[in-house]
Amino acid sequence: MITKRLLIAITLIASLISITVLTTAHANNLASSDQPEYAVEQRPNGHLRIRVQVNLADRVERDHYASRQRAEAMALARSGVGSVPVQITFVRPLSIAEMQLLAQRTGLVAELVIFEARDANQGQHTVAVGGNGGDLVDLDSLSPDLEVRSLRLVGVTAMRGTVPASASGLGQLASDERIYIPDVTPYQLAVEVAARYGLSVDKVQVSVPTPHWYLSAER
Amino acid sequence: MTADCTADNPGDDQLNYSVAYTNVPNNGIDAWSDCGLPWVREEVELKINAGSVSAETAYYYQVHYSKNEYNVSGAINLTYQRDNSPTHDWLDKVLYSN
Repeated sequence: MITKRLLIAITLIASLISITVLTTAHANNLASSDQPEYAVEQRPNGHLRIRVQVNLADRVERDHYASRQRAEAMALARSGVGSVPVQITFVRPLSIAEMQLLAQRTGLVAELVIFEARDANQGQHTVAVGGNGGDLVDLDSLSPDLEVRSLRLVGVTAMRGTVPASASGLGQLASDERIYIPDVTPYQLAVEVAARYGLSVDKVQVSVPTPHWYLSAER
Repeated sequence: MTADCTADNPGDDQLNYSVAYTNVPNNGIDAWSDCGLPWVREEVELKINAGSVSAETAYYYQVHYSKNEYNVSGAINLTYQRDNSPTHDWLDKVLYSN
């Protein structure tokens, strides 16, 4: 009887483990990979969510992270692996025209564009807009909500998207002085973690923080 | 509203959130999908540095979704979670479900 109950208990526990969110924190292992610290969450459908944990509120850590990502992006640009995900944080807010020109020159395709906005009291706001192909964002559709909140768009402070891993694509982004962090961690971690877990890369989602809020607040 | 869990689109943004507005000092907004799960279509997380929010300050977070060219409205729940999970140690989650 006891053995039977034990077997049932073991089966239940195993089942729970298989359907419950499992989280694993991975320490930064500089010996094997110079990646920032991150956490992996295994979803019940087998997909992985990765959250990069870097303290971008700290200027020293932020500058160090930015320098490292610039170097990583330069290296990745020489690899010619095709189109890669990138998250860009700008030194200062860029106009839509500047963003569009940058996209045209580099082949950057926006999936998410983050604006700094200010209200009538100069209070700081964030407006995150889904990418809209070549035009980057559909500003006309934003106007009603901006008016309701009395918001004024200052400029683009960050964005996520894809860019060719080439000298004219990612390489040009990484050498652009208007770009503070050309973050290629989403690509690198997805490949690395997918291989470790035996998954395809499209089942790995990576989230990396951007310091756009802090940069705007400190300006 | 059903998730588009096709083989060609196995882990994509299901509801395709289009615009998010907030005045919360934050580290980012992430859209996650749980394709294949029947009870969750999409989660949008607003990651917040708890140390940077102030008491008695009004914060808001508004999300617009689009799917099949229609705006979607539904319950958005803000949950405060701290120190109960290594991956949810921030004032965080905005969960959309329908």
